Amino acid sequence: MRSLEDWELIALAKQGNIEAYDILVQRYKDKLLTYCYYLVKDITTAEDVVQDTFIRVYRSLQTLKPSAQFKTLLFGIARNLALNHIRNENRRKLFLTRWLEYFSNNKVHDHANTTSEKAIQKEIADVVETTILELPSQYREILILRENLGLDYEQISEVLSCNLGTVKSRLARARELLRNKLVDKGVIEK
Amino acid sequence: MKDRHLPDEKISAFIDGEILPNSDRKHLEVCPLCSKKLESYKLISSTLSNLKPISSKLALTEKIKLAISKESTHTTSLSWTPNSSFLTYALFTTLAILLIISSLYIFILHQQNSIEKEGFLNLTNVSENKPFSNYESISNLSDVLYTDYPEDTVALLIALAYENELDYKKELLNLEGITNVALSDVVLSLGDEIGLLEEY
Repeated sequence: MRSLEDWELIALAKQGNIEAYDILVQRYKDKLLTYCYYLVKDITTAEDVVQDTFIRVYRSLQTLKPSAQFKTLLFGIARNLALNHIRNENRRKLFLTRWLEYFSNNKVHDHANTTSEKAIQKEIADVVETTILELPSQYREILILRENLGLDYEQISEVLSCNLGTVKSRLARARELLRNKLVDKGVIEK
Repeated sequence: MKDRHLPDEKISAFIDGEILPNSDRKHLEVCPLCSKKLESYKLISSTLSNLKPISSKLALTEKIKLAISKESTHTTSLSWTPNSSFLTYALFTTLAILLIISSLYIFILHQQNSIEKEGFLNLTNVSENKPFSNYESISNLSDVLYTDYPEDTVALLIALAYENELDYKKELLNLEGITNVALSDVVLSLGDEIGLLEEY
């Protein structure tokens, strides 16, 4: 059964075959977790979003039609859930910041970046990993979708619900922003 | 040719396999700035493709399986079809519940009218009705809030805090405890309820 295509597994799951759905979970959970982590920047929340995504898809199994790629559908749902979380989190932070301004002089300090003395490649990887989290979410997610999860322009446009031109320009902007940050940190030459 | 550098979008697309015209490719070979940019994009690309995988803290698969199995149980129970005697019983029960709810609603409306007449939401009245051990703190808190928000908004916020039976009450008065996540949820919901967040 593991060799079946996504939509074939969905067809089986529609008939009540939970094992078929489990295979889909196994197939995509890690990729979704990576994507969600770089969106929400918190592993526990990312796990919740992944779980919620699979539950939502399961609930709407009967209405699913193989019109799009299942993978992009899955990423699209996860994205909406993650963005909802970010919106709520931003509102919470904004509100609490106002409260904290009244009640305390404590400021939130950014984590200091630590440089390791390990191999240069590892060092670069570490810096890139932390630096990508500093990018605005729309640039973080497109870099992860393209570079780490290997989605092509068309698949990305489906997940993000935007046209190919936007994908192309946003990706270029994301790469340039990340490059500039890495230049500032002295990881790569200007 | 060297003066007119390639746009970032072209170099970025080239990384992704787009074919560039010969003139652009030649430019990439001779222009130090554009070739350096190309190299750094390649470095970013290879580094990101080899990021260490994000591992879940808990057994994510098990959590998902459990949730899905609950869903499937729920779905099964929904497929049950009631018989006609049950439907009659359910109809009468629903009508009875509706009757009770509407009576309660009328009663609450009546009570609210009385409260408005007596100025219940005045902060002093609230505190007198429900004495609180840390009244001084809440008084200070309200003083600070009054400088930025309308009086009735603050009064309602404090009143809601008093009225609610959740454990966060004491924490609300403990100003350092405001960063507590559970508390922040409650404060946020209180703020939502009174429209405080609309200001943002």
